[in-house]
Amino acid sequence: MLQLALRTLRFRAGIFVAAFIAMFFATAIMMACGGLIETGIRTAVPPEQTASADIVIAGDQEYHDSGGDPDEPPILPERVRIDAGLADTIAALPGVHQIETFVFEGDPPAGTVDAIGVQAEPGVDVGELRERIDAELDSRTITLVGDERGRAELREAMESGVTVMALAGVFTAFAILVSVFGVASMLALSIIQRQRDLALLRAVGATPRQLRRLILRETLLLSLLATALACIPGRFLGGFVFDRLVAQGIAADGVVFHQGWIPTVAAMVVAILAAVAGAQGAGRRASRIKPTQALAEVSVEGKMIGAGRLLLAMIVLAGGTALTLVTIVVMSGPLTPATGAPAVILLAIGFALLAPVLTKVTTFMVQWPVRAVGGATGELAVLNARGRSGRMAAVMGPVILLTTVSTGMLYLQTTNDEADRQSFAENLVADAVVTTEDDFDPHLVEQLSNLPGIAGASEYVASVGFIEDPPDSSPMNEGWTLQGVTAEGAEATTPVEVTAGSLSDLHADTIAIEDQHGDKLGVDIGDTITLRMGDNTARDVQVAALFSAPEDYSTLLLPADTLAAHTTAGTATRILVTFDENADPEQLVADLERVTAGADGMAVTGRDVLLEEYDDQKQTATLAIYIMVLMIAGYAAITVINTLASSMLARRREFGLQRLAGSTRGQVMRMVGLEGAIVSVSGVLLGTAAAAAILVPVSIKRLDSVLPAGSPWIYASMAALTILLTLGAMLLPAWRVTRGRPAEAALAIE
Amino acid sequence: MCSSARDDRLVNESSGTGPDDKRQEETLKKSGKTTDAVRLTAVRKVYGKRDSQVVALDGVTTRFDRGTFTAVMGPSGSGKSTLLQCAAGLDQPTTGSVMLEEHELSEMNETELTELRRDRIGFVFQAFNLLPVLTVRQNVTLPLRLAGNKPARGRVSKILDQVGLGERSHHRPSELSGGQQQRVAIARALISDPAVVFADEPTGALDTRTARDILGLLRHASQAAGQTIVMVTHDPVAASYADRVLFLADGRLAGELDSPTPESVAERMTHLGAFDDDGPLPRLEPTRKGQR
Repeated sequence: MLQLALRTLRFRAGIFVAAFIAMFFATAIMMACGGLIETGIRTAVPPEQTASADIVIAGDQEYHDSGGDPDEPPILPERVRIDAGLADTIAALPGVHQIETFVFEGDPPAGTVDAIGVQAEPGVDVGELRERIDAELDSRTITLVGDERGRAELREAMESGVTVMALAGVFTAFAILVSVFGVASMLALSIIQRQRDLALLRAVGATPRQLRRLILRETLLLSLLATALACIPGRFLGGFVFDRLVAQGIAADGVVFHQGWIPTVAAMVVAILAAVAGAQGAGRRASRIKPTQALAEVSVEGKMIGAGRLLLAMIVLAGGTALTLVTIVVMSGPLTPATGAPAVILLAIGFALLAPVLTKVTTFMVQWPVRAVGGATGELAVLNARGRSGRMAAVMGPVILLTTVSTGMLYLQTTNDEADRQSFAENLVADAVVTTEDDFDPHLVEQLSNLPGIAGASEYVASVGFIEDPPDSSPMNEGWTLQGVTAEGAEATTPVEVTAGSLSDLHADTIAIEDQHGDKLGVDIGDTITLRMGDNTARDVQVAALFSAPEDYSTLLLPADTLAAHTTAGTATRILVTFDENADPEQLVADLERVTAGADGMAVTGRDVLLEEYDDQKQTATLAIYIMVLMIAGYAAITVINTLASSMLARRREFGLQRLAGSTRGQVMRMVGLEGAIVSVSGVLLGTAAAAAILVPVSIKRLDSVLPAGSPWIYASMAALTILLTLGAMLLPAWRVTRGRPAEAALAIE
Repeated sequence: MCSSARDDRLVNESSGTGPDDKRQEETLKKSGKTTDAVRLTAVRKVYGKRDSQVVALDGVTTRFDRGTFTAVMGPSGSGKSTLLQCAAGLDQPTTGSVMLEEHELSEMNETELTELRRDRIGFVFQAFNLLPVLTVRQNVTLPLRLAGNKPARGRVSKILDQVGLGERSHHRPSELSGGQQQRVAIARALISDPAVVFADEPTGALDTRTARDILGLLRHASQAAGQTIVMVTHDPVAASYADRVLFLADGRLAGELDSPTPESVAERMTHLGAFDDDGPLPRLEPTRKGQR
């Protein structure tokens, strides 16, 4: 049997090419993702300034009490500094040769430093020394050794590590899906193609179990080869993607890419297991082949749709519908894609599973135009599409998948981006921004707000923090946006409506929060809230005002100087300015420029600068979606090409007979072209329907529009590409098999 | 069965006892074994569901003796392929019994049938006999390998020499002519020394001369090696190579012919068409079967 498997792979390589390609790419992608995950876990940053230290003591940039997943604590946005007094305690420990204190960024508050480097005495075990040091530290301070030491210098490394891991995790999941489904569908196809061989094997004495084992062995051999070869691109793909992520600013520059043997071996094992899982289904199909099929003249089409497939389609569609409802009803704002993206995939798979039934419907619908255009050849094309609905469905499935997933995911992304951006823009009340490189003159805000035509001006500081008392949970447990404002200018530069207290009371240790949030916490004006600031220090603040704000605002307002003290920069570097409604914006910008001209490093810009910053932060998600769509589209394209090309090659005899009966080669090609048109147009229409099932409700909810946001060219080009791909995959092989003399082809054994 | 008498005879369909059984009993006493390799009793095969039923076999009782070469003939749709498939355990009869040596096929499950097929039954089909990826030798030894046995080197070479393909054992089927491919199929059918070799139109896709070679090989296998061979065919010339011809019409036995010639077979076939309206039995005088 092993010999048969080997020889089948060797001499009928053609029918395995697609399965091989699916496994090869899936493995390479998983290896790359494994490398990215390893890189994220290690977050190895070779130390520069701290290179001479054996152990580096630094603040813990992770916040462990957010109430979220303890394994994925949120990363604090500001430098967590440590007590400078710790240096003396550490220096006194046995085994410590020398200590050095470091400040890497900003201007630390008195009595704090960024890190302490410890040199061990010669001969002292670093591990033991680390334990002695750890015993002296509180829970917000950690020790770093080896390549971890650089993390103290490069604070962004930790956060970028988490992002890179999250991205890689999603890609891995998709690669596994592609591998399982890809291998299963390609193998199923290869079994249809050599049904006669398998039936002959059954006739001469192969048991159903032996056939299953044969398929399994072929798959194992193929997957071993594919995964082994995938090591070559897999080795470089991870590094390449990481470099791109660094270039995009998603991964921190300075983190070293690591892809050891673990991700390589793990990817191979997962790919092989996925292939074996795919082979199980194909093997069951093979073992159902009856030995008498070896004697049959023509292969007979089976049932239209199996009960199991119908049931599965219904379950998947129900799941997709449920997720769509959850997306519309429960999810709000930026959380929409969390359920939206899986809903798209479920709807696509559900429609693809129903393809055998849907094919009948669409073929019925498009028959009149095709007949009108094609005449006799059109008639033949319709009859072929009807008679071979099994094959049609096998082709239509991937076309539907390709259309739904690509358009669904892309437009879901553009729609949500647009909605998020709209709400960000609505919440951004300011008309101009004054920026500085270091520090503002304390009187500048007042000076600006007194200019004619200016409605208000406020300093602007942004950070992230948590409410610790009363107990509270923030959106996704990732903290509340903290915004520092100037009391007098807050009302004019924020989108809030004060409902109690006054924003002008925002001085020293005070806070303004949304009234509903206040109700939930049970606090009112004058009550105290304990905040955990972005630099991991606790601060008690008194509620000075309650306000109502647009949905998704999730922002707490604090006095700018209070908040600035807990940021890495230490001071505000921006002033937001709002103009009077009737004022001339150009004139006012010129006024602002005149006032600030005297000071060094100051600049006046429109509010666009804040929108651009916002757009930059969105890049991560967008890039991830694009890569995902690319992977799925690539897989679907391979399936489409493989299915169509092989079904065309198998019709060589039929074409020959048709030409003997009087068709010209041109007429045969035209018939194939019309069949291709039926398949591709029906597939694209059905795919669009599946995508619309989620896009329309989401667009109505988020944009108050039936149509999703984003360029119509995305849809037009996806549809055109799908149709071109389908037609190409049918016409090229058809052209090839009709090249010879018709009599030869008509007599050939299929 | 080298009967000198050319007489046609009536098939004894209705009764299980008759001269045949007496002769069989005698042989049984002598050898302690039955003389029939395959015995079908009241085999009925119905395809399709209630509203669109097709009766492919309608109560066929017959037997194929050891070492005989039988041709099964009949018009298209007469049920001859179904008969072959039921006799070979490729398909299960709806009712009735099929005995292959001492095995009752209707009581066996798919795996048992498969194992029986590879040990005791050989197949030669009209086309698509060989796995295109395997060499001649690998194709021939496939049933043995599937059974988990190592083929004896000498035996494989001997069988390949017998079918005249000793030189070609490492070629792949695509490098052989149609006749050569059919020889490989015969070699494969004989390799496990089966109780019966079933051949379904083995010469259907071959020219006359090549067909003659193949039929000669089959006859040689039955005469020299004592193989039991059952062959379905359309061709009176092909049928004339057999010891006996069974005629089928409308799923029933419609007579048989010992020591056939192409002419007698052709004549009977013509009558089969002519007698369709009046019933399955032609105006033939019964003779004793097995008369030598």
